[in-house]
Amino acid sequence: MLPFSTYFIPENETLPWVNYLYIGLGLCFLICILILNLIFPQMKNSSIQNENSKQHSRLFAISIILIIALLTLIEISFFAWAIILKDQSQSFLSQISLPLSLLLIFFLRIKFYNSFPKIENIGWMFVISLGLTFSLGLFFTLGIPFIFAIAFSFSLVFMYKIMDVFGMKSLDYKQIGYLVFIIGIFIALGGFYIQNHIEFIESIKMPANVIHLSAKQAWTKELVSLAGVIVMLTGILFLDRRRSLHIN
Amino acid sequence: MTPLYKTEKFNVILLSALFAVWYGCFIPTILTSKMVDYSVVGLAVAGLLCSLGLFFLQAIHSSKLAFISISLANAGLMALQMVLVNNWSLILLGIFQGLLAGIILKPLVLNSDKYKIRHTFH
Repeated sequence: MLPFSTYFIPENETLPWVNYLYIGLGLCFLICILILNLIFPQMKNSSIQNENSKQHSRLFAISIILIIALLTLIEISFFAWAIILKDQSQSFLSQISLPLSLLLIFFLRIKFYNSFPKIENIGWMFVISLGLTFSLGLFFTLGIPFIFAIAFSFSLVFMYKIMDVFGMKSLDYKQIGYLVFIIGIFIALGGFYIQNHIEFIESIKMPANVIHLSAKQAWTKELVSLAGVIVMLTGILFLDRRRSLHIN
Repeated sequence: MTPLYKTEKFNVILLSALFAVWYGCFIPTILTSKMVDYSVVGLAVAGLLCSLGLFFLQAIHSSKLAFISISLANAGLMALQMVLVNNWSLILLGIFQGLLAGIILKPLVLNSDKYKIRHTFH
């Protein structure tokens, strides 16, 4: 059980009971993650008024489904590997970035999903997708845990909200099945990627305590490219909506 | 009689706790001691997600017998992992954990959908 507690405890050991306390806290956080990931946000029945109840173009619908799939993929893939790859090379504050972002996601989804004011148009979607890209690509890599946790959790939660506003439909069983299947394949690819990366950094004799950190950052860098695809898709949505408004 | 989805929520919490212990404690431990490598762990997690996805793709109706037998298979594979860490048994365990998650999650999703339909039409 000890390695798990090193999420929260620096390498110099403290009293044994503190270890167990932190293990308990860590388990609670992990339970939150798994429940959050198991409850697909896109299956929720939103109470927000759908401003676009009219028929959307095919391009619009495909873009929305792709954005949902990529968001879910980023969320599950990031957290799955962040749990497995623990690094002990950083300060205590950096190590709490994962549980902090999970807590923020939890509270934002439970408390502010429907009540946060005025974040409901495509301009906001573009800004939030940029926030997601910056949080993964910049704040996480530079080791700014608080800004990363805030930007990452805010972006993940409110992208789904804007999807709700723009007519996101509930996924049926087959769509959920395909989505989970694709995420599984992506995580397997992630395993091969991380193994390859770790073998490489071991071969160049990097210090052992930064191996996990380096692998996590390399994997996150790959996830940023998916966030970049989301930015492009929001651009497509913006142009499509502008065209439809122009026609009407 | 207690509605199914209420008991399923409790099962989801138990399942989450199980996964938390497994993927938060056990897997990092065997990775640190280099008993398995990251590609095997990736395949095990992928096996979990793919078997869960297959459960949603196919029209499988879970029964109490299936639930008990898959739970026992999980327990057996976990016990095997405790004494003998093997690549294939870890992947197989991931697949069986996905089946267990599918049995527990699918009725929950089904009931939440029914609730949504009822809520929408009344």
